[in-house]
Amino acid sequence: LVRFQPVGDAAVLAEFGTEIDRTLSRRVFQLHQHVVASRIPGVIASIPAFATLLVQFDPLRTAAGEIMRLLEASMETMAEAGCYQARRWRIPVCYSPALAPDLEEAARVGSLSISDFAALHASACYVVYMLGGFPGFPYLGDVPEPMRIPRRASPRLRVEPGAVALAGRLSAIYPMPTPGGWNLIGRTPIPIFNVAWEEPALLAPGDEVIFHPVSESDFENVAAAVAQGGVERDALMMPA
Amino acid sequence: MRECFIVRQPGLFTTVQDLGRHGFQHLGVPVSGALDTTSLRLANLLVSNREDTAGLEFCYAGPVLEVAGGPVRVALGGPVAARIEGREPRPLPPWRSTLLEAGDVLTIGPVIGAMCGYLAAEGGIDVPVVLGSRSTYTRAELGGFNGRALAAKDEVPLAPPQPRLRAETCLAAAPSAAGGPFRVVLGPDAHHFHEEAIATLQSSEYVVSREADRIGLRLEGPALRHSGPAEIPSQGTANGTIQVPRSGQPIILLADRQTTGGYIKIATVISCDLPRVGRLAPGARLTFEAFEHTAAIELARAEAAAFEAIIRTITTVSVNLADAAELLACNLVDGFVSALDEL
Repeated sequence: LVRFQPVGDAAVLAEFGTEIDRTLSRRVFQLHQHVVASRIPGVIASIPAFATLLVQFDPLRTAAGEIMRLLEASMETMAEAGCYQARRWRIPVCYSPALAPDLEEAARVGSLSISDFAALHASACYVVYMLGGFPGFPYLGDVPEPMRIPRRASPRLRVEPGAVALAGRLSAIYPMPTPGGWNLIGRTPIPIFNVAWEEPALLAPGDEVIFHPVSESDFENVAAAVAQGGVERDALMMPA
Repeated sequence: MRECFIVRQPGLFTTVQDLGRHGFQHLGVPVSGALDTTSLRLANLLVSNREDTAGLEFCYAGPVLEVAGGPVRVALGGPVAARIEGREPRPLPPWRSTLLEAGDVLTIGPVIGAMCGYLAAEGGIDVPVVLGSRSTYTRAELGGFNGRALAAKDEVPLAPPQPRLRAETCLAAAPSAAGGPFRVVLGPDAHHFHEEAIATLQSSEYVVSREADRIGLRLEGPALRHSGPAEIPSQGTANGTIQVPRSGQPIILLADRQTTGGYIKIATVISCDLPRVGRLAPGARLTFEAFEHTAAIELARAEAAAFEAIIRTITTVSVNLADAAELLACNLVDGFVSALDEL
């Protein structure tokens, strides 16, 4: 059951639950896609998160009551329409201790060899639960059980863009240089955030991600191609 | 040389801000924008800009700016005054436009009794538009002047001046520093608190701590006790949301807040009171009053009407006789009279 609540006079929160859960998450994306597609007058933003959708609006143009009524109606239409359309990305990742400073330690904590650890991370299909915390920072889940290790005790002052990271049940890709406390277990040469793009983030909430292990030399080749502007988005997208 | 401000002293955390970067919160991009939107909007209107034009926001201590490349019309917004050094030294009060000549130096004084002040320049601060906005989000070096606060020797580009001569404008009366409780709507996590915490929020006085910046204001006062965990899976955040970490000391989220957060939220300040929140400085005392969201709509409309009323008080500055004589002398040279006809 979804619960609608006003957040001040300029937003409504649709709460599908209180857990991180893919079933709940799917319903969040469904409603998000519906809100975006409906172009409701006065709506300014629709922000999906793990189990909630926050819809912000201009209180001089519409009101919480009206938005809640429209969201409820959307829920009914959605139930008939079925699932939302997810895009699926295949992201090359190099799992090499030379590029991933926490890989050896993470594998040790998980009682796995480095190659088993990498293979396990690349075996899952992750959903982009949400982006947040930092521009373009994707929260991906769920990480296979033996790899669930806590954040580092002391965060790094600078994490390189493209760092593939782990914290608990979540994985992430750092979009730009930033301080960060997640465990760095791989690195992708693919840029995932660029303000020059019309849609500045490669990954959108609800997308699916599969990590594709590559060697260090392939990493360098793709990085070189990226630097020359030679990697098309479509080449990373998997057929539906 | 093109028109610019050369920064002689940067002031404290002086950044380029407009009314925010909208449309990318679902991708984790914060809104940013002016904390005290009312002051920026009014300062813009005084120099004939659109309300959402990019200006400079400074905290506590204003910058010292030298005008280069050409004349520029400016106005200050907020409780802050400046001195103009140059051919015609004079003080500049807030809420009044004036024309600065190339070579003039504008020394913007401390902001009195608020956190932020604003400088609007006719045509606006001409930094590149990033994702639809010129606002600065320093944590990700996004937008504004190279994504950061201004530093000495920076040359801040200005839009080319509109060469028309016109009379200066001012607000007939400075916007009143409205007091009274900050109006909130309880929730969305009010059920995660003890009932007494809800009562405490509405009956207690809180003080803005020294941990106050563009992300949020940490308050000090009676602790607000959770009835369960203090953290939940992250949710989208709204401007003015009051989140309460484990310490029980509330934090009001502002323009540079992250788009998502996992602290429990007890209430949210209604949108028309947000510019007032943006004016609060460390040490300021505040109280809260809860409203139903349905009643908050009326308050928002009343506030919008009050803003329109302020705009209607924008008038042409009357000149004293000595200045008038000087202006008349100018007329002979550069056709000031015909320019006046446009008003």
